[in-house]
Amino acid sequence: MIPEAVAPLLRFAWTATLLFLLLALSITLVLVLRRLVGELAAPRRARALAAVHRHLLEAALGRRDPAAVPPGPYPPREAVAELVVELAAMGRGEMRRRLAAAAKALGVLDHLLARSRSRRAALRARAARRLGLFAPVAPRAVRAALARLLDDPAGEVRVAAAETAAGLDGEARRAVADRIRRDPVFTRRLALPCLERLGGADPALLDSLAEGADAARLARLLEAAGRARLLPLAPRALAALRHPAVAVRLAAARALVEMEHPRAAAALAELAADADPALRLEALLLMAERPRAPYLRILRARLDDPDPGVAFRARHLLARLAPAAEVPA
Amino acid sequence: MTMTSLLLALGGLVALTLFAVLLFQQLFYLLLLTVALAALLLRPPRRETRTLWSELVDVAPSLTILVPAHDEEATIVDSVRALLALQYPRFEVVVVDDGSRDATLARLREAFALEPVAGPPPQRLVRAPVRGVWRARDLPRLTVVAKENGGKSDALNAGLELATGELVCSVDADSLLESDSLLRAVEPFVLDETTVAVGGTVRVANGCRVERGRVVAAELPRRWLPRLQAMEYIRAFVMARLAFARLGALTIVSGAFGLFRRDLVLELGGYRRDTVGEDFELVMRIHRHCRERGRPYAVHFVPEPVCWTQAPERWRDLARQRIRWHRGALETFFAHADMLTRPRRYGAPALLGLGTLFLVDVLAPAAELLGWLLLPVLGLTGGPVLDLALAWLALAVGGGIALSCGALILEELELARVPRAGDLLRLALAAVVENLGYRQFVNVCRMIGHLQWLRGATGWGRIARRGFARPTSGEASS
Repeated sequence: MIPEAVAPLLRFAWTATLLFLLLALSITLVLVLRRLVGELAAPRRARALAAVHRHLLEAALGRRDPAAVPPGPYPPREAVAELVVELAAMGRGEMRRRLAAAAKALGVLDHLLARSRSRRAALRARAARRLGLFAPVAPRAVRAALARLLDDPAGEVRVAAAETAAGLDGEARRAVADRIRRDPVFTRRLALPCLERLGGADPALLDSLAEGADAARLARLLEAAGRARLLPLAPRALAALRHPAVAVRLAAARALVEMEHPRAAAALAELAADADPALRLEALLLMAERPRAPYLRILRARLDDPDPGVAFRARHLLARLAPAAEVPA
Repeated sequence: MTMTSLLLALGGLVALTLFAVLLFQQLFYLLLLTVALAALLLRPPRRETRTLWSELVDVAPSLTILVPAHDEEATIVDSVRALLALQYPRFEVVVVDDGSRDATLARLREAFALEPVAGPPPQRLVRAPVRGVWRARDLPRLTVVAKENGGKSDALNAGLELATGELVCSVDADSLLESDSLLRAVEPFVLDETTVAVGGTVRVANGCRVERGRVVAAELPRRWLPRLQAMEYIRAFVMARLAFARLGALTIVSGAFGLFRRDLVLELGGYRRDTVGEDFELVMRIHRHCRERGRPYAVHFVPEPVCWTQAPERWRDLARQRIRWHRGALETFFAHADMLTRPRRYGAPALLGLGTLFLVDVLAPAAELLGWLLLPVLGLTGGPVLDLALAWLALAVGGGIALSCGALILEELELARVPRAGDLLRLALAAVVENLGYRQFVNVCRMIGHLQWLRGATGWGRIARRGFARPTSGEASS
């Protein structure tokens, strides 16, 4: 016997479920219709995008006045923004300035500035990356937006803003360097491209960040220094070869190899004789990335490595580097 | 009190208990749907890869793709070629031929001009003996290992020993990855240094047009059974896994496509060979290991990376697959059930992950099945029987349809991977049909899996696969 007292609850359960079902089915149907309308409008939108594409290209090449807006219909501004980014990658200097002017006339800058205030961090970050293109035509607006985004609560937005600002003038770069010095997000891997971009012009900044850094941060900074081939940081990499942390020793050796430093082979030899077999293996892999004649001696020394994995890899690398006759069976 | 009234009271109690379990299940799914919606709104998936490459090219950690293969001669060469062509800055592919009886190894040796490497590889994990290792002279990123047959976990362990990447990605040999899937999946490792594992979305490849190991045209399955599974996968990945990851309770990273930190997997002793749910088991061990050591860690799910897999096209194969999955889930659940007794220590993965596994995947299917069987009988017990029957039907069928539609809405609003409006409509229809027999069938399979687990059954069983649709010569040339 089911107690009568639960009847209202049961009634509520099935009514609420049916209402939920009705709502879900209606939204699904609306989405299907929206998609259908989108599919029907797709050819028209593609034509509009092609017209805008033509206009932007001709404006960038100086064949058309960038300020003259072509007749509509226009595709969504986000699509135009993507198109502008694609076209911008193909040109430099005056061409990019004209392209930015044409895009600004089409409302792309306003769209990006609005996006830079979106509630979604990913959209703000995307806007931050694209704003740099408009710096030559609207420097004040872009600098103000980037300054605001540099203080954004989301790390990825700050990184994106810093990357963009690092490519601008001296004042913007100083603001970025300032932010990097006091922002923990720049110790993460994602911020490295930005650090490298700035570091290329300001090795002292990287060096100052390495001062007192923990092992993980130091390793990443050394990797960044290596990729940017910042020779002024070589002494720090050489000193780090004896760091107690495995990751730092590896990053230091990698940095020296990337910098093509004269002591790279010696660093690799030291790494290949490390007590940690994983590190010895990594040293061999580093040699595989940039094979050089001096490495043969290091590889031969590792053929009798107590770790079979290291010996196995040394044998294989030696087979690639040296004539077959020189490789022991 | 007479015997009849006692039985009636007991019947009423059973009916209400079954209803309560079903209600809990559907409310829990509704919670997951809400959390998944919030997760997608807070961090919308990236649709374009152009910027992703430039952002990650310098900072993406090195990665090893592990491909266990057993009797895959028909597809292995195309699969490996497609893997080698993936967009990722630093990666290698380690194919493990797990004692194939066909020409899997011969096909690989011929296609990639493999050369044997002298000396046995080091043995650090438990696995069957290795017969040999081959490397391609022209493709330094490819390694092939041949070993005695030992099962998928065993093959993964052999691959792990030769892997050199900071991360390892396990991929089934018959699965197809989208070219940018690794880049997308690796993003959490870059953004969050505590990330130890990342799962990606798996989709049903039946019906898709495949050329040289790559999906060139995503289509919905033409047959109803795989189409129902396509809907089921959308619900499982877009709704459930995303929500669990957001709640810090993701306990499954699909074996078809999952990324792990190699050092951690090695530290844990690799994959366990005594379970058919090795992916689930590994993630549970990661949770346990990190929490016991107070180590900060995170297991993420990224909805955008897509791995295409073949779904069973016959009911019999589907039943085998689901029975095996359920057995694997039970094996892992009971291997780690003690975590439930210490919720403070093991937190969300124990309470939400294991707890809901028990309530939603073990208890609820049994309750639902029992409910369908007992509903006509319970009608005789008296009281507001009509209300109970309506509420049951509404929750079991209507609630299921609404939740599937909810997942489809999320998919369309945030991911938009369904190719056309017509396909979206077909999937919506599948969401309805799925709840009128298919879900009940899967529940029966789960119960059989339960019984098999009680009997101590082992092994994977064979599932017939049709192979991916290949273009005709005309299509290929065009």
